[in-house]
Amino acid sequence: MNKRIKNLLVLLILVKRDYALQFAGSLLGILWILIQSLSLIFIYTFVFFVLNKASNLPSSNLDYSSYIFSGLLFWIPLQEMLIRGVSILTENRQLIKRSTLGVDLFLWIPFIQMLIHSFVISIPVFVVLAWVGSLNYQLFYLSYFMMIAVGLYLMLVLSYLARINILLKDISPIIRLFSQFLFWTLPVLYFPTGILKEVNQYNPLIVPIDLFRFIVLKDYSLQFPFFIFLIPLVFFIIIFCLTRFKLDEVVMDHL
Amino acid sequence: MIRVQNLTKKYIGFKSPYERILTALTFGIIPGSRSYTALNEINLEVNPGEIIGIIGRNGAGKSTLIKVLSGVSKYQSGSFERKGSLRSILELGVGFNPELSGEENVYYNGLVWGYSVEEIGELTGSIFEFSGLSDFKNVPLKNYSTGMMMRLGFSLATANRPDILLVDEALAVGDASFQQKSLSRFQQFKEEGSAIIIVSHDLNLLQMISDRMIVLEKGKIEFSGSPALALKKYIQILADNSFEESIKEKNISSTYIESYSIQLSSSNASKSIFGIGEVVTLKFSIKIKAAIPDLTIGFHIDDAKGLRVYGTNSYHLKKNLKNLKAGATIEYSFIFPMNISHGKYNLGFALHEGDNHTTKCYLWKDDVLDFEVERLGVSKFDGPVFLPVECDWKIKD
Repeated sequence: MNKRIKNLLVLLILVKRDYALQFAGSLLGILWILIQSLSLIFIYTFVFFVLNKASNLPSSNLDYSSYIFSGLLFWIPLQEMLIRGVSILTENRQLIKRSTLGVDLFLWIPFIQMLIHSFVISIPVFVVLAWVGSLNYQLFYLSYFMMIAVGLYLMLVLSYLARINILLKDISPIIRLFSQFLFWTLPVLYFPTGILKEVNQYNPLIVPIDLFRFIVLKDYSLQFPFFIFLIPLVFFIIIFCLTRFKLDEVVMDHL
Repeated sequence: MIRVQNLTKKYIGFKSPYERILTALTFGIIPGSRSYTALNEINLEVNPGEIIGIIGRNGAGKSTLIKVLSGVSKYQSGSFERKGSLRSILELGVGFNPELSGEENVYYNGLVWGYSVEEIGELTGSIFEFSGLSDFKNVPLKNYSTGMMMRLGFSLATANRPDILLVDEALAVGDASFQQKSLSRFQQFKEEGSAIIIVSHDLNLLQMISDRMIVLEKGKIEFSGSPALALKKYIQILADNSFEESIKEKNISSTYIESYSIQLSSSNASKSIFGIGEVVTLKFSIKIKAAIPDLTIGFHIDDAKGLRVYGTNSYHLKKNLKNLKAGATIEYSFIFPMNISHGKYNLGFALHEGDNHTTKCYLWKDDVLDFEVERLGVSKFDGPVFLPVECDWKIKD
């Protein structure tokens, strides 16, 4: 069997193992992912819908709840991937040390899980969006390709973070904090206006979320120019290249 | 087949947390300032159908070599070439997840260790059969004993024949019957053409199954050749291994003792590794600060788990010292054969009056000296003590 196909098969089995460990002994098992994510989406939508209505935030042609739905559908799987991915090597250190498959294969576990989560959550979300008449029927299916692309984009930096997590023992608390900064500087729950819009431009995920909404939501117009995405993209590619250059030589002995 | 040429491996360490951060932020371009050469210009070739045993003191580079050859660890310079499928057996049982059943662990770990899905499906039955754990397939691993986990690990790692097999301290696991099965499996792999490298402290067993043995010392190959000669070389290295000096302590907060030094030696050389049965001398040098009417000098040896292996004193041996004047220096030696099992030990001592330290204690020190005991030429035995047993028999027809 081709080595790449064999590795892909092993990767899918590692993903299954990871779920088996996460939900070992749980009655609902993997269903928890759907329950957790949907609960979060509905709580955010309810709270911010009430707040928005009370404070008369800028008006839009868009249904506000659809706006939040699409934002959270984008954000939640990516945040999970970021947080899980940082500790994936340290958590599987004993397995990695005995494996001839290499470190990189393990890094793809959170990526595949992100795609699965994204797909699972998207079904009820798209049903709701279709029901309220906000779904962009012509393009919404492209959102799956979009998530693959954004996942790959984050993998550029995740391969670095997962490795330095070995060296610095545990950077998960910092990454959780950092993900909160990313979240609140991204217009997931609010419209990008005024000073917030200025801040939003510096978020490396701003153009991806803008494009994602454009694909998913009917009548959504792009809020940010594409070229501002090129700076973080180049920056992430440089981080990836530097990670591949010398870091493994130092890091792997500390695993 | 494995061919290693001028392979050098250095470990990079850090003097402070700031160095770690700097290394992380500079993508490893600025490494830590601590560096240790674990392997130095190693040249090695292992051919199909050959078992190579590697021996050496702790820190000699044995495990590092296995890690580099298995691809887990990177190396700085040199090259190595390997042909064929590779499997490494390191710390059996580690890597299994306690929450998953034996069968699930075999499935998931097997795939990571290089088996294909089909192979695992076909081999699962024989893996459990070989390990004698067929009745425990569906039991979570947290309910396995350590020995059961080791057996399962070994059975999984050797379920089919790899072209190259690297073994680190997992030569003989489980009970005597399982050990026999394990050794037979190594022999079978060898006959079928596997190249096998084994690192072990079990010198006799290694000598028995190896075609060739390599002695590593401070990251370099000191000897490569016949197992019997390799053992001789290793024993010589241990014999040559002497401390720079004995343990000394001055300015002790004791009314009676000003200073002391303590030395553990054999053949007039201070050492940290001894062979089982080797006659050693434990020498004390004690300077008295105030007059002591009756002095008992005692020592105790504890094993790595902190269990007392042996202890005695000059009172029990009826060699007590009387009426010592202030300013006097005593030199006192205990001479005894190291008749204890192989392993790591530490030595402490006590200076007191009478039978034990509860009456009047002048000085008590634990963990003063660390040392190791190696089996060397002594036959394998069980238990914490070594009895130099000899056999005698008659046969009447």
